Amino acid sequence: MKNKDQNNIKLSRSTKKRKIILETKCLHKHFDGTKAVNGVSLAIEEGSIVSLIGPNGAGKTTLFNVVTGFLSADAGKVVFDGIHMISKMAPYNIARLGIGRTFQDLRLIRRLTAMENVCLALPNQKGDKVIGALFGRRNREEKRRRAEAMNWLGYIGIGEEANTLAEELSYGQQKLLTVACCLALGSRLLLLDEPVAGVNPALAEKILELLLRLRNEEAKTILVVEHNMDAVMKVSDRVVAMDEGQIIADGKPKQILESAAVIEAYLE
Amino acid sequence: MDYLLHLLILTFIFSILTVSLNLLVGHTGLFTIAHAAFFGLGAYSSAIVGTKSNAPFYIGFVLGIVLSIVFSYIISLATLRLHEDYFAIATFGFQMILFAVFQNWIAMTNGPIGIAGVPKPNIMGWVVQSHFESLVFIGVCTIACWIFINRLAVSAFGQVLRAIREDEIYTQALGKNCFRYKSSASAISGAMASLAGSLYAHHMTYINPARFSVTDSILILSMVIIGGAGSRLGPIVGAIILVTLPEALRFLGLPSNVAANLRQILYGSALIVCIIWRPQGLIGKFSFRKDENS
Amino acid sequence: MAQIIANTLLYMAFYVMTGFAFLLPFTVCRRIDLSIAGFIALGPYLVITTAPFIGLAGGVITAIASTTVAGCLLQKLLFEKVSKREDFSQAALLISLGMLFILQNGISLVFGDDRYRIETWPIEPGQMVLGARLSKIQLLIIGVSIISVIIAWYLFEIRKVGKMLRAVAIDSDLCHAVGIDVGGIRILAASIGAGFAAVAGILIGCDTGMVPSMGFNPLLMGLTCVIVGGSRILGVACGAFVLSIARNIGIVWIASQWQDAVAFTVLLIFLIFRPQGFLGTPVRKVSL
Repeated sequence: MKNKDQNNIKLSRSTKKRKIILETKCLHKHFDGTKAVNGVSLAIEEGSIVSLIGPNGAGKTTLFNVVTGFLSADAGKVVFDGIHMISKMAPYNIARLGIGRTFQDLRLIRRLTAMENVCLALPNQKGDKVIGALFGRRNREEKRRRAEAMNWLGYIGIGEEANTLAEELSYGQQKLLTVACCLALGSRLLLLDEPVAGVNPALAEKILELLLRLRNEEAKTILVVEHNMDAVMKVSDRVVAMDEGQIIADGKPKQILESAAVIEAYLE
Repeated sequence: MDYLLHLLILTFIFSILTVSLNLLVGHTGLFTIAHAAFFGLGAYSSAIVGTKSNAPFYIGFVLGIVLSIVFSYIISLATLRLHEDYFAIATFGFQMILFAVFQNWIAMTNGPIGIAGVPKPNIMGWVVQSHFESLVFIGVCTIACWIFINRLAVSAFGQVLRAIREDEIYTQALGKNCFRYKSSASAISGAMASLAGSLYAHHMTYINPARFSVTDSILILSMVIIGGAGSRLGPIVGAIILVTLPEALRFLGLPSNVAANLRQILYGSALIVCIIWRPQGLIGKFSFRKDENS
Repeated sequence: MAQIIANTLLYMAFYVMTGFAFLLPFTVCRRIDLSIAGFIALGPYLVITTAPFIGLAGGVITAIASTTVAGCLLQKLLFEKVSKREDFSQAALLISLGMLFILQNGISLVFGDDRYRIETWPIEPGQMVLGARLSKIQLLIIGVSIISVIIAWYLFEIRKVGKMLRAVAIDSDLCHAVGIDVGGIRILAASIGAGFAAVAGILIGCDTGMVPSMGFNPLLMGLTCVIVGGSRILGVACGAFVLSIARNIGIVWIASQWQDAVAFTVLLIFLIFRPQGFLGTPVRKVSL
């Protein structure tokens, strides 16, 4: 799946002037007095892979939830691709704008096959609306959907499991499937919550390669929450460390992972 | 023979009720205790239009359907963004209200006495008079409804409904406006129940509030569950049981009120047994997942 | 004026009791319990079954105790079985519907559908109490309900058991983690709820009499109180107050048979604009 924008990306990476695709400005979210996200201002460049690290409770997943609309921010702004209103939008509208996400607890529709899960994610189908469902020409529509779904399944590498029930896939394959669903949705920005946690090393390697391919070939922007520092080192262009709701460090992977502040945060 | 035709017609009408309820309960996973209220809405619309005006028969159908859709949306707007329990609560309230309206708005509905003399449908000159003609007319409507619901169920629309049932948050993250899907399913379900009600009114030519109470809503609901929620034929099986069981009990020679009580005790017990030990019902395929964590 | 207050208190009495009966399973056990309508009926019918043998007081105590035990058994034997399932809300609702059918029709089989009454004092014109005309039984009803509210408030808001009940209602996983017996607390809640339902039914049975299907309307009222007032003891009392005022005012313009419609409209309005009710306890939404 070659992307026409590949050349543009190469150009912009070399000139180091990349568009900011996601920006949060002074984002605040608190629960009953605890400040889960405490003034987070972050700018993510298009076509980069950024890892978000930090101890449990640092606010990483909460940040994801606020950006994707599942939680409403108490203060601050989220801007996606120039669109300001996204902190007030419903999650499904944000998803349609081009932000896809996975969940820490691996949400999928387990009783559907891998193929059906990806088909579900495909947007704007004729059968989505009642009239279309009743009167559309089903067979043609069905073939088109399945072909597109197969493409994505093949791209991420679980093409041969297309007809396996999601609950019967291995944990790593399920994680790949969730990424495939984001891609089928047409997401330009992927928020991945612990994509390699709990996955066996061989499959984890495959997932990381996929992330790199998505950045290089598809010009996707990826924000990853991860605890696995090897993985973070392997894929990230940039690492942002959080603790107690705030960003405590932000820069190249090597310098962040060796920074004293970060190590201290983890040890507390 | 006429009596058998009557039973068959009732089975068709109740099939429309169970199949439409299945869309909401079986596929979308939203529980409603107001199905009999919508059934009654259609029945009374047709009965009132038929007896108090000279309008063509389909006006009653249309009126019932429009009212159902409106009320359905009001309930949806009020509760679908909250936990599904609130939807169930609101439908319970709506059912009680509508029953009170059927019982007490004497001017329109004649209250407990009911409305008699509902004319037979006059379809461009063909008056659906005999039981056989009713069977054909209602049979065609039933098959149309069944095809309608089935097409919805197998389409992408149906897939999204079932996804909402399993994990609404994930489905939202896939860019689906879950409110739209749920409220559409609710409106379609209610509208179809109203259609069944109109057919019922014209067939029986006499209606009273007794068939449209909360007990009847629970009966229809239990038939969908016992027959098999979410499956294609389960609701039909449920409807068949619903219509024929009273007849079977009658053969045992029990007085009718005892039979009615026994029947409901049977349904209640079957419902409990079904939910705990065989959630997919008699011929359903969806079995509920058990959560392994404690 | 005093009569209006008296009438308000009288309506509130019934609403508050069924409100408590609905509140407990709704919050602590996280389920809609429609079999409460069956318990409301079970109470008074048990009274008239047992009273001829052990007297009215004995009958009342037996009825309340038996219904409480029934609620306890149902929670332990049926609802616990489905408590760990993904589809718990739906399963619990269906089970409660099944139980409702069994209870109501069981009563109808044994007693028939005619209206009975629990005979207390002979029917006589009411006495004047503080400017309002109330019969002895109505005084008793108001008295019982006030005492119930006080006891309930004390138990649930002040005492430790109440704190545990509320803790389980808010976050049962956390309760597991700190060693609270969540299952036991839920059984307690279900039992108390059934008990309140029985008391409500007995009061209704003394006042207007009873039929097997008597439970639906009181249940609807109680449920509305919980939504309007919020999911706390005082919330239910508050909701009951609002509903009875609405009923009192409504009677001036709207015929009495439409009172249910008024109550339902109030319910809908609150669901749309303030689902957490007056006292604003958090409402479960479709979100993370």
